[in-house]
Amino acid sequence: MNNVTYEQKKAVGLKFILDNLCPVSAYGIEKAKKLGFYLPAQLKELDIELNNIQKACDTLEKFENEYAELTHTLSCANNIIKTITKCASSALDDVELFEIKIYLLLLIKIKKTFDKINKTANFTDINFSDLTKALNIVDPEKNRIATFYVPSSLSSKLSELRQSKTKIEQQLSVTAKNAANSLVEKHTELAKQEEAEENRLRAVMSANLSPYAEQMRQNADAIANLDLIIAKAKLAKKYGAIMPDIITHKKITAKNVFNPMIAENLKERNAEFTPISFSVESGATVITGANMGGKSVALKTLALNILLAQMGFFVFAQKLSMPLFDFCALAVTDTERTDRGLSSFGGEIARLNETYQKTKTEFGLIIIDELAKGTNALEGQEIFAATAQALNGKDSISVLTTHYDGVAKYANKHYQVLGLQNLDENYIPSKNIDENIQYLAKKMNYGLKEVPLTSYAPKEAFSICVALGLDREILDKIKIDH
Amino acid sequence: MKLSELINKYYSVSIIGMSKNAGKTTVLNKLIGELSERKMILAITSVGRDGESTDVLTITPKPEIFVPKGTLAATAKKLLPFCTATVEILHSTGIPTPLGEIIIIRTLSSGYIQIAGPSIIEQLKTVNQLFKKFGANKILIDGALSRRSLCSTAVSDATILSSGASYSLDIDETVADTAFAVKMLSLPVEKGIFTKSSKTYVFYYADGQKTESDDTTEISKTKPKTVYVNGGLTDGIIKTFITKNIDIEGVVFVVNDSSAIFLTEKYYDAFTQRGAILRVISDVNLVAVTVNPVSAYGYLYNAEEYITKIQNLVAIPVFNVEKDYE
Repeated sequence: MNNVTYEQKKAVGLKFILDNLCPVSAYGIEKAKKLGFYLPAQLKELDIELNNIQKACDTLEKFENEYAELTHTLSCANNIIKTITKCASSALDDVELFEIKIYLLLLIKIKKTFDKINKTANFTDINFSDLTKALNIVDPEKNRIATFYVPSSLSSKLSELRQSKTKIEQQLSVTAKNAANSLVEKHTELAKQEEAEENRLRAVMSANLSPYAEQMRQNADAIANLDLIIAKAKLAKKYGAIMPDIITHKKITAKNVFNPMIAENLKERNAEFTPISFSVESGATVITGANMGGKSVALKTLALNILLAQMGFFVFAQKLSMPLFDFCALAVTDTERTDRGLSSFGGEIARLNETYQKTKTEFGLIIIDELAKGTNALEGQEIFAATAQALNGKDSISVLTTHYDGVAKYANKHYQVLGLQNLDENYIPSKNIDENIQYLAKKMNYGLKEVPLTSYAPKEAFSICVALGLDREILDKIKIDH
Repeated sequence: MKLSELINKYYSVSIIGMSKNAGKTTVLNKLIGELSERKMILAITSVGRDGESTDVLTITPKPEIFVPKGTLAATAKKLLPFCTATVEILHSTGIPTPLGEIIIIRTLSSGYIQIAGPSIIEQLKTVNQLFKKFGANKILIDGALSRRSLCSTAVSDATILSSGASYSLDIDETVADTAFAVKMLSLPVEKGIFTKSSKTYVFYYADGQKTESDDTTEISKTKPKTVYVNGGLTDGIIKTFITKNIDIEGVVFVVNDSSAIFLTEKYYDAFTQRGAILRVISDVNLVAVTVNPVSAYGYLYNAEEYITKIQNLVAIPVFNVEKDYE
């Protein structure tokens, strides 16, 4: 799973989703940068994560104020893992003890608000342990104020030193500057002793804290987890995402699945995203259809949502059931490898071979956009047919798009992009090409329909040429019967 | 009038010195003493720690700034053990320095504190905001002439310039250079938006047009209204104006701030005599000059003469740190 590259994440719209995920704590932000995939063996963990998101979704509105407070408190959490690690083995200085105290005070606040929500939400495996005893070490006077100093009450020696210092300070304030030298020297000497005693006490505090280091670290993990669950829930609310149904059967069934990045791009062009419904299973599925990107949209939407589910996110659909995959091989537009010094076709074939080898031992999702389109049509069609046939015999789920005709019969399922709908025969192309494209985009339906394996792709290229205002001198020479 | 009364109306005040031992620390300590008598909560920081950081790492620094109990300060973490005042940690800013992160502290007793604050204007703004949050009534910034951009009015409402006999054995040289520094620190602001460029100059014309160039002679040819000087304005540039006889009459030259001016008085005079005008983008509000007639190198000036000579050349009040404060 972890072979999904940055370019692929960007192309399918996963980066867009991750950019819209807004954890607020330093721990959550850190964790969000390193999100991995749940593999089939981690089904239980994924289940817990998804259920926790559902619990957050269910309580976001009812506990709006509590969540707002929690978010604010979480946002104050700085990453002090280094300090926590240090306290397990060596003495902390003033500033580090200050950090620990702030952290422990924050934990109390988080726990308080979290407990309020959790009574109803009942999150699984998110626990904030009671660290009052640790807090008492750095706040022995129990003033619970967000500052730190070594209090005099900790040792009679420190108390005496500070009293003697204060006396000198009082004398200093009434002594002329030129007569103050010996007093200043005395004061400095006492300050040195004070510093030494403070150092000793800080070492004692640190040693007393060390048994709590592990618990403090676990609480930091809990902050990260909770923060991300809330962020994922808010994201789900924002775009209307739902919990995917993870099944053991090797079949993906999607009802009205969509892709927020593409939807947003379309919105900018005044067009709307048509949610897609389909089901695919072990073997090969072929998607055919018009130009205008309908096939790629279907692939990217499928890829995005499967990847999201395996990363422990809700999915953008009305309903989505799917198994967990060992790997996901994406070959979608603008993700061609260029780093091997091979031509684009060569890179494509090398990649295909790599993926195919994997299917022999692992269960994967294979998504290939327009295989072999870069080579000549005759051979390209042959290569596609052979690949579809071979993949169709595998356990893995493969989804391939093509504009070649008559190759779907090698797969076990065939979908067609609905494509251009209700084109106005009397549409007079504008001189402004953008207007024509906008017109076509509005008429475009990215929805899928299942068709017989032997169906031919709809012929729309000519209609597109007309709508785009291609010169009659060319159009009239196109000799296909339309 | 006492210096502390003069700065009464300003929330943040910076002090910069003409040289080492100009009496900057004396002024700071006197201000702290006077202001704390009025039960004010003072907040103290410095801009960087010019040339002293190595000393700090190798030897114990000498105590410098004496503050009363309840004073706020922003200083580097590694200097905390050298404070003889008992301190309480209020905030860790995350601002890095060679001496560790900058920490906001409060003194729980009086004593000496060691200060090394931020060295970037944005960081100083952050520190000032934190001081305000923790209840400071007045902020004092131990500034540096070499970092005078950190004394701009964006972060410091008023600035005091300290001049001292340590600057030069020759009193007239010290007086002239101090007066010139006052002049440069008091340059007026040119309002407007000036874009950075890889070229030496950006020319702005009366009709709103703008061009960039490295060629000085273009000023004569195209007669821009305003010239933004990217980087420093040096004697060398003025020399070119003179030798190539470039017409700069009425042209407004703009630099980021006075730290971008590397002119000697002679060339500045030649520049203004040719009718050119010099302005800055961010200004300093210089409100007073202090003089220290005692040199660290074992000689002293006649205090009367020193103070009178400077006062004759500058429009802002001049204070004798030794006399007025002893």
